[in-house]
Amino acid sequence: MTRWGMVVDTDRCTGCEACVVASAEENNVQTVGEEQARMGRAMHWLRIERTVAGTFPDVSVKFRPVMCQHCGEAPCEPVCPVYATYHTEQGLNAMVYSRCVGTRFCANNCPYTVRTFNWFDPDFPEPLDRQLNPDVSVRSDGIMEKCTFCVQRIHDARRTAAAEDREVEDGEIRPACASACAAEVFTFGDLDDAESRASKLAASPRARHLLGELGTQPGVVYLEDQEWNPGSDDA
Amino acid sequence: LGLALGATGPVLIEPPEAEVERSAMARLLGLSGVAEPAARGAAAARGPLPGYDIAGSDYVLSIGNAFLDRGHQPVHGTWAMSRVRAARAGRRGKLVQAESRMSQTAAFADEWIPVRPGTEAVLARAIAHEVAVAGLARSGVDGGTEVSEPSLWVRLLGDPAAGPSAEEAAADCDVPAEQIRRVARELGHAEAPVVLGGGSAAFGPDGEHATLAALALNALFPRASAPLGGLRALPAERTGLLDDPGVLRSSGAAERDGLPAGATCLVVETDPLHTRPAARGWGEALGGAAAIVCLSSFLDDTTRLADVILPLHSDIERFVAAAPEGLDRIAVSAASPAVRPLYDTRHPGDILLALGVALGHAEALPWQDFEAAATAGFAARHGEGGASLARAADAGSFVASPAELPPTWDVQRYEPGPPAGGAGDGELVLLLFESAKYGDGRGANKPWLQELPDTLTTFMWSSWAEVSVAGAASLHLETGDLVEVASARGSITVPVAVRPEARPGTVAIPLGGGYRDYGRYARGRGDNPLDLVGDETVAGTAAPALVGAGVTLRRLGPGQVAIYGRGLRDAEHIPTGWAPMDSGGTHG
Repeated sequence: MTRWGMVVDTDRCTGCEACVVASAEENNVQTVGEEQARMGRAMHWLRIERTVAGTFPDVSVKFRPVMCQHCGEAPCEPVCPVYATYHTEQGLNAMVYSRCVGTRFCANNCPYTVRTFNWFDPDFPEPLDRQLNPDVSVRSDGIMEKCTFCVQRIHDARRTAAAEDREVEDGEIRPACASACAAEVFTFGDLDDAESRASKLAASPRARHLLGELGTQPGVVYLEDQEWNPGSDDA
Repeated sequence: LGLALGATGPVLIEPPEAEVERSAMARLLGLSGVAEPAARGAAAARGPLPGYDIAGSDYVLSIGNAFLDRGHQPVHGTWAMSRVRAARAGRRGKLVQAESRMSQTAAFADEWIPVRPGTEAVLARAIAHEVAVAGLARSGVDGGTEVSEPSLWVRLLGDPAAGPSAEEAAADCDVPAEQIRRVARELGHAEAPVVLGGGSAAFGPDGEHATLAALALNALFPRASAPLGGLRALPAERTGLLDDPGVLRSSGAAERDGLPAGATCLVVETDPLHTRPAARGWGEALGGAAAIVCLSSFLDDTTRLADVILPLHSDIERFVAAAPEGLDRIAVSAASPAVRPLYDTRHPGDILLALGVALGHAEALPWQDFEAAATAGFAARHGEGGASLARAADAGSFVASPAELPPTWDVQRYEPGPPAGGAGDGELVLLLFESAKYGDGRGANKPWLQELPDTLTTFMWSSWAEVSVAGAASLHLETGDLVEVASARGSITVPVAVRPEARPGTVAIPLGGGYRDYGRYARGRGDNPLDLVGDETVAGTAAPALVGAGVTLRRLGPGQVAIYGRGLRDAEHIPTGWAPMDSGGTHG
């Protein structure tokens, strides 16, 4: 059985936020403007967490992209009274927007704070409407939204593979964040396929789960930073 | 086309650091006629932008160059740094960033050296000193490449051992001597080190000296067939697609020599009224022009003054053939239009060709459109082996075999000018910088970039002034407060970001605010910090000095700013911990 997942190598993340922009543009996430952003209503599905430690001159900074972790035991799923968020057989934490009634219980229960409440009807002033992705629905106000691992790209790859009478190849699916990342931070793939690049990276001794002790079984695996290694052979 | 029209020297508007880096490269390479900018006149050759073999290096020292934030090729730099960190063959490389302000590059680096503004040249010389006295400079090269004796560093800057030691530089640079000595040792022991220069270090009054010293460090670590080590110098005649007339004037030189008044001014995809300091005279020059004709895909501060606007395709509506400079290889990016033009617009190259033909220069401009001109230019330069621009467009890019511009070794000794004055008592040192999202301002018209949280401050929809914790305490400032920043030249109003990584005694402000026009998302948003800059230049060049001015801050009151995560931080917990995948324990 396929279990889609993402490996994120934080050692390579420069914090450039190309992934943040790509996620928004691919998934028709609208901007909300200065006043609403000031109220905390900006709707990025992916954020760069900055951890700043110390004060001048001894300061260190780490960047970490955080999106929906597509948990195997997702705290957001059982609290939804209308089954708007559910788990797919392929490991995705999915949303049915038309079911969502906006209780926000799911966001309240998400330990990663990656769910975004949409306060707005779709508003893409001309000519921004022309850059909407036709493969992704626009959402109305009053519903929750979040990263889908660019499920439309997964569907597209599966349809293409089926039409060509073959399986989806490892590396064939690249969510928008992975496509935009020049540092190749993101590796998407089937974590249950022992031969996939993602599953091999997930077996690294550097692999970590965010808040793994909560038992949420995230589908996102982080490779933690490495130290400068000028010559040993055990990196 | 400018020449065909009888223009008195077309002016190339580039970021100030590019002007300084070209000048330093010309000195380093010994390019004829470039060493003395005051005497070289309009027809002087321009030095190439420096490129760096970062991906092939195991130790990257950048003195001032925030090459991941902006620079000339930030995407390539990002890819290259991912190779350095890929731990190939069991080795993971190191990035050391020496920079007064913690840029995104410095935040990403393994080690940040927060050097005092304006002392980057001293730091580079001290590193050279420590490398020399430790006997770590490399004089021979495997592979038979000749390296001059004495070395290029000695010819340009004198005996490195006679320069400042780590102890002598420590007080100037406000960097511990041991850190300088250790970095020098690490650099000397690395298998393939590279040193980057320019960037923000080129913005100061001593910027050319700092850039030259940083670039020249590479000559201490030559590689096989590469006497400048990881530094690459690719000749413009190989990197470009069209012939370089060789008479392009830098914007700094044009400003120094006086912009022509009363002439017809053709402005092609550039906005000097916003991106050059007001003190440089573009407002007066354009105000006195007989006519202003702008080729632009967007209304901006310069086009709003135009008598005629010839609207252009946007980037995704046009055929693209770009030969980027500042890479470690000769490359051409080519792409067909991604979408049909939304409005009745044209490709800028097509307009220029049509203008030239209409004015009677058809013989010199035999191509039917820009694509044909670029195709012919590509074939003339890279056509061997069946390469073509059409194939490059299909593949997305074309990379040619490297061809370097070797140093002549006939370089002139560089004598830096006297130290600049700097900030006075009670003043803060102004550090202007290009942020990753706004750049020199050209990103400000895009709502998704306005709403993108800044890399470190997470400010959205506005500019900001980074102030140290100590500085904020003494002025009773909190993040979000509005302040007036005043210099001898002018003043602006901007919200404050109190930052733990900000250097005490400085205030850092990104470029990109204060457009009078540039669309609904940029217009009237904040002030232009270039209004704080006078007509001081980087010594040895005509480029404006964007850092080093003395400024004062005055609190105006609380402001209304959008800061990503502020509400979350106030109201909720943002997780920050790691845990091993099989752990039930606490955060790592």
